[in-house]
Amino acid sequence: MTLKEFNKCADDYSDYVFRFVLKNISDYSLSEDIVQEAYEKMWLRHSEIDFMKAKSYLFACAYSTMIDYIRKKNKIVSQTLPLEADFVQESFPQFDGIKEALEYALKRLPYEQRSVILLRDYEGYSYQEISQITGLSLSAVKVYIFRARLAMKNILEKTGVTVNEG
Amino acid sequence: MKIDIFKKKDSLKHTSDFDYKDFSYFDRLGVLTIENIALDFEKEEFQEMISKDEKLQKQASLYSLTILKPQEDIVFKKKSQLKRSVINFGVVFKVAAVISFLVLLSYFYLYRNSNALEMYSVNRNLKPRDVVELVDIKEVAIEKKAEKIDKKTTVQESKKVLEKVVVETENYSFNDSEDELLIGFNPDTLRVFDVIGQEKIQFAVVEPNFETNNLSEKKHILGFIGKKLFVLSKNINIAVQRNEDGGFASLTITTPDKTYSVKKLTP
Repeated sequence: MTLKEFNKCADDYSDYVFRFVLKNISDYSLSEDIVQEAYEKMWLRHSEIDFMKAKSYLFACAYSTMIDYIRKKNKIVSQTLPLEADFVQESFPQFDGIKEALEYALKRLPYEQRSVILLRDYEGYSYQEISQITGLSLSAVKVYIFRARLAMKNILEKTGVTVNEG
Repeated sequence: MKIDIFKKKDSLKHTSDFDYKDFSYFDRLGVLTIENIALDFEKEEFQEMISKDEKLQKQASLYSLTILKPQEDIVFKKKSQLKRSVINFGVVFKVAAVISFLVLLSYFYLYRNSNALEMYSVNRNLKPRDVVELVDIKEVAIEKKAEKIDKKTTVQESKKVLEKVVVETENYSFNDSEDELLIGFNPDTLRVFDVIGQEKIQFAVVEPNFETNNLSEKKHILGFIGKKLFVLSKNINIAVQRNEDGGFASLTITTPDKTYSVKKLTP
């Protein structure tokens, strides 16, 4: 990748990576730091990286940094979604709009599920690509996506969202 | 003859390498459908299930809502900090080489000139505002006498001793504002008034750059001591301010390390 291509990556992909990280950790300044670190990592190896694969590489770097951060801060415990049996008994806030309900549902997903569902829906990556970005096995990616869909569907149902609102 | 065939062969196949045991059959079909990876028979079965059950129909609709859409309003504001620029060392090297060459060139030029000026070292020892000291350099400065030309004294420029040309006016002194003086190749005729200003100080006249005739450039400084005209140094900087009439309103002489004011000598 040339210098010009690297700077084009900054223009073209930073919004996507930032959005992905911010939706995962909900910390604006830390998300900015993670994006900058991802680009820093890419710069160190920019001569070896194919421009066509730069976006995936950035997501992989950001994901890796983000996971390190989450693990260090023990976010795993605090952000883990209760098992389905648990949240059956939980009281859920009621939302007027689907957007807020989806936001709520997304935040309640475990970070692995949240990451893969964001990569899937926001970026349209295939299971194989998500597997390469996250380092998860292909079957793990599928499981996380399936579980995320199911969990989100259940949460939406419990927050009183009706189909007509969409 | 009618042949019985098993129509659900696809249902026997493994369509995924992970276990769906955590999911109900409906949920499995629902996710497969919205993920757009359901096989045809799975799609058919899913449609069949939801068409018969209103509750499942609502569940299926909720699945369709789980597809997230990116928030375009979230943007990274520090893009400029991500971008890189690389110093072109080739250009930097070339510029540095040119600058180094010019520095060396100017150094040698100055070194040559300073060698040619014997008076320079003497001048450096002068005390500021002490004109008497200037008299002390007389013996060093005087190299030859110029011819006296009636009321005009012309300094004959010598290629060899330009910086030391000294003219001795002998019996003549510049006191009259009508007197004129030609110095070197200076096309201007300098009158005493021009030279010494209102106070008629018997000191300092400049030889402008004879090519440009620009008085503000570095020149030879010619100093009158008594009736003798000395070239003090080529390395003295001067600042000359012309008055509205074209005469010199003021004159400041600056050596590399000291500033000398024009001071009237005792007649």
